[in-house]
Amino acid sequence: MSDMTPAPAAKAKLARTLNWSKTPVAPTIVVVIVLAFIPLVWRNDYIISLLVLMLLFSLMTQSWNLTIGMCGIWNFGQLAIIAIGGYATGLLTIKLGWSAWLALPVGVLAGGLAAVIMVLPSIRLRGIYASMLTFAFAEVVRLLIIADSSGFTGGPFGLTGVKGLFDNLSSTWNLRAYFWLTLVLCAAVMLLVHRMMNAPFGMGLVSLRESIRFSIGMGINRRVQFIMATLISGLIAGLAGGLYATFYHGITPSFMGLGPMGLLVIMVVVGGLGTVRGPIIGAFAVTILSELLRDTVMWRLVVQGALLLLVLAFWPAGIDGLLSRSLAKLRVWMNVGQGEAEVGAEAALAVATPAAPVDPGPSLTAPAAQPSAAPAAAVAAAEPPKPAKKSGGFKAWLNADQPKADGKKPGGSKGDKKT
Amino acid sequence: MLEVTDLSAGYGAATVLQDVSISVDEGKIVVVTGPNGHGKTTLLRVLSGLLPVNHGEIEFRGERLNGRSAATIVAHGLVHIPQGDLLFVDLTVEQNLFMGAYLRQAWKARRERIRRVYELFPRLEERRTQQARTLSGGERRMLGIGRGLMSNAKMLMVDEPALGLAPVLVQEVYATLERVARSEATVLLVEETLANAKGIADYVYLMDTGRIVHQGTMAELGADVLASTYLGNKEG
Amino acid sequence: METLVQALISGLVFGAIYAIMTMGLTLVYGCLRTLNMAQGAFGMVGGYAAWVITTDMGAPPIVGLFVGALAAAGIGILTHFISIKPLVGRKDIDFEMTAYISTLVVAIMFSAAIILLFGARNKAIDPLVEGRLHVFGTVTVAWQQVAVAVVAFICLGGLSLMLSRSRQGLSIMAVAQQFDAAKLMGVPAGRVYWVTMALAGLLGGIAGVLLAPLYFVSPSAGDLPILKGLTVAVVAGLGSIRGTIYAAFIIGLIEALVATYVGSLWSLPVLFALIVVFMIVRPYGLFGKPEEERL
Repeated sequence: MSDMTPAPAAKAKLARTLNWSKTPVAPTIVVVIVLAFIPLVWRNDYIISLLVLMLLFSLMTQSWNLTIGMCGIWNFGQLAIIAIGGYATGLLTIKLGWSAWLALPVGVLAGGLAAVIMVLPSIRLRGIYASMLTFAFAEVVRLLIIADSSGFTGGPFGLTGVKGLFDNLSSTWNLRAYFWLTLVLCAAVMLLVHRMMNAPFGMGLVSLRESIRFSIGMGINRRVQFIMATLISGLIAGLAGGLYATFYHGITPSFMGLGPMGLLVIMVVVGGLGTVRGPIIGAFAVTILSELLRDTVMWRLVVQGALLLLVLAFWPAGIDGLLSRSLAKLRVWMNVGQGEAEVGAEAALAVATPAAPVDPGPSLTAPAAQPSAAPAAAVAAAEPPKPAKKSGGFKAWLNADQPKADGKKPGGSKGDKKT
Repeated sequence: MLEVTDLSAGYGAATVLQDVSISVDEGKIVVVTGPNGHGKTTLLRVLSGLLPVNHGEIEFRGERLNGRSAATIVAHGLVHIPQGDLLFVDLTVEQNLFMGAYLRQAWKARRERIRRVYELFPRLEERRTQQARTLSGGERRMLGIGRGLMSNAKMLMVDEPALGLAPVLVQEVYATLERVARSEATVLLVEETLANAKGIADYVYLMDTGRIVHQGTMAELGADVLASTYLGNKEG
Repeated sequence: METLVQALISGLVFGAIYAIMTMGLTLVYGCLRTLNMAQGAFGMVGGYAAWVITTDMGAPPIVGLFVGALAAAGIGILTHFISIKPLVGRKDIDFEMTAYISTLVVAIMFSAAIILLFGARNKAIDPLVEGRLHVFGTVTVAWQQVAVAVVAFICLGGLSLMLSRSRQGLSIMAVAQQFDAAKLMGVPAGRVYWVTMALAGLLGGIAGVLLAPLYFVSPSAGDLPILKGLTVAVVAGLGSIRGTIYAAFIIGLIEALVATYVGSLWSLPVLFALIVVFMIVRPYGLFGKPEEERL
């Protein structure tokens, strides 16, 4: 929780350069270029639309992950923020006839604003209370929209006829264009998130919320960072929502329901909470799973839910956690012969504990300070009881309490050490 | 009645108790003493099943108790009265006492048992419908002990009965403990201030950093310890 | 004046239902330190069970109440075993948050399963009793509302007796108040946990069956109840039994008054505003203890 004193300008600049180079910009660009060829190689419109969906989900999961990873807040209203972005974009194109390209940035901003409004009140609340608050917020928004009979928001049927970004293109090229756009955006967001989570002089990994609680006095710095993180998360959410609305030409309030929220949670947890790659992995994995179960629509949710429960029970660090552990083990195995066993072992150890090198602290796996004892963690294997103060050692104790057989009164030369 | 042999235990990787051996005969009052933080409470927690045994044997009335669950140990009549009372503060005195008789056999007999407890602690009877949180320090201690008695305990393990009490109350508590030991159950005490217990202790164990470093009757101990190197060359 | 009385009656009746429903949340929180997001789903399932027995199989409504309650109790136990028990005692997770997510996901799964079994459309169900009672002026009371009041009284009264006298009930309170000591008395924590969840299910189911004639039986019938339940719990103070009853009636009355005099659309935002205000101003609710630190 040490706060960074502002470094001298030169040092900071150097650090920023160095820092930037740690973010895998080049490899990412390469990957993006490679992936960009997919629609040209695999000419299946349905698959492309599925990929677009996965990329959209990745944007959503990343934005949610940002809030939990950096702000330590479980924002169960995330979908409402995404939806607000979508509704804003959609309404502008429908009601005011704006082009989607103009409406989209507004949707982004709307998302950012909504996020700040929704998350700020939770800033000082403990985990579940923040969740309850954001959850309530989202539910209220959703129910209000459903109850809206004025036709403004389309009520329970949602908006239809939202303009797309590439409506003038043929349907295949429309899909491809969306694919490329979302691919680039997704990669950009990933880099941004990586940068945010790893910058030593920037936002850092620490749950800003923790440091805010304890260091309100430390001033503007942390709180500003917190708001920034929330804002950026909201902007990304708004972007995702706006893209979604333009891609599907509509959005409904059921988008904000418990079902989709649960899906988001499942994606992030299964992928690996609080990590950079986790949300993306999770989005892809769960969407693929959904597709495989496509024909059995309702079983899907049950299976996905079961998947989450299993992951929680056995691999709380998610797929990313599994991968990291495997990679680390691999590294150890490969390095043993070269006398770098120390390094490997350390890496493995670092990964075995929930905070892997790249990963921020608060996640499912971090036992937060629990003022109320969780059941059964209480007595048995937990930490020793509140340490009884060691009272000055055995000799002192002996001196204080033993009856002096030689008749000297207690409180003699050594003084009465009443513990 | 209770035989503990070479007990080692602790919290996870940290071993607190090392090769602890104690023995308590029926009807006696045995005191485990020593500075705070040296393992006395840990010992009781291991005996009552809250903590696992790493190594060693616990035998109570002929039954091997290591590794058994807390509920089973209580069912065998070995009852741990924890440090700080740990009362159910929002429940009434009577409800607290009844909870002491949770185990099925005891539950059936709870009304008789509570009468016995009220005989021992008339003040508790006066306050039977009051919430435990409204009781004074001394009364809470009584309630804690009374609660322990409700379960047909054959042996009570009391952790720091004098904790937080004024000297007058300490005397009262110890007088009660003596009565209990003579009529209801054997008593194993953990007491940091040996002076409190010296009047009633039949046998004493000294614990230092998780080991028993000395043991004996009060008389033996008085002479022994003074002569031992622990005191160095301060007193004669 | 008569509108006021009508609103008050409605408020009291809803308050009673909220009390039963939220009591489940309270017990689970007190005992298992879990915010049971599946509480609303318990009611939803109870409603369906009642529907099956009455509308589908022709039994009288009162049977529906019992069957619904029992079915929900079973669901409560199931919820415990699949989403809470696997998390208990583990040091590698943040129990509170994980259990929250777990129960939330389970609630979603129940909804999905219901859609699988029954389809997504709403189903209507008959109230326990038909007809209205004329009180004075234009004020009438539906017999159903009277029935609800009676059921609530019996439920809450029975619960109170059980918790303060019976061995199981006392053990639930004991585990909630002082886990370590309860263990030392031989209380088997594991059993207390699922019994509490069963109880929560039972209560949720009763509330669900009572609500069903008003709001239809549907897969999303649990959404509003959990939201209302959370509101009541926040105002009451998590884990406070007395607080839950008071807060439930307060919320019921506020809701009815707002709906009558301002518009039913506003009752939700008002509820939300209540949650926000309480979280900021009075963190541990009306009756919660400061140890239940929110900050």
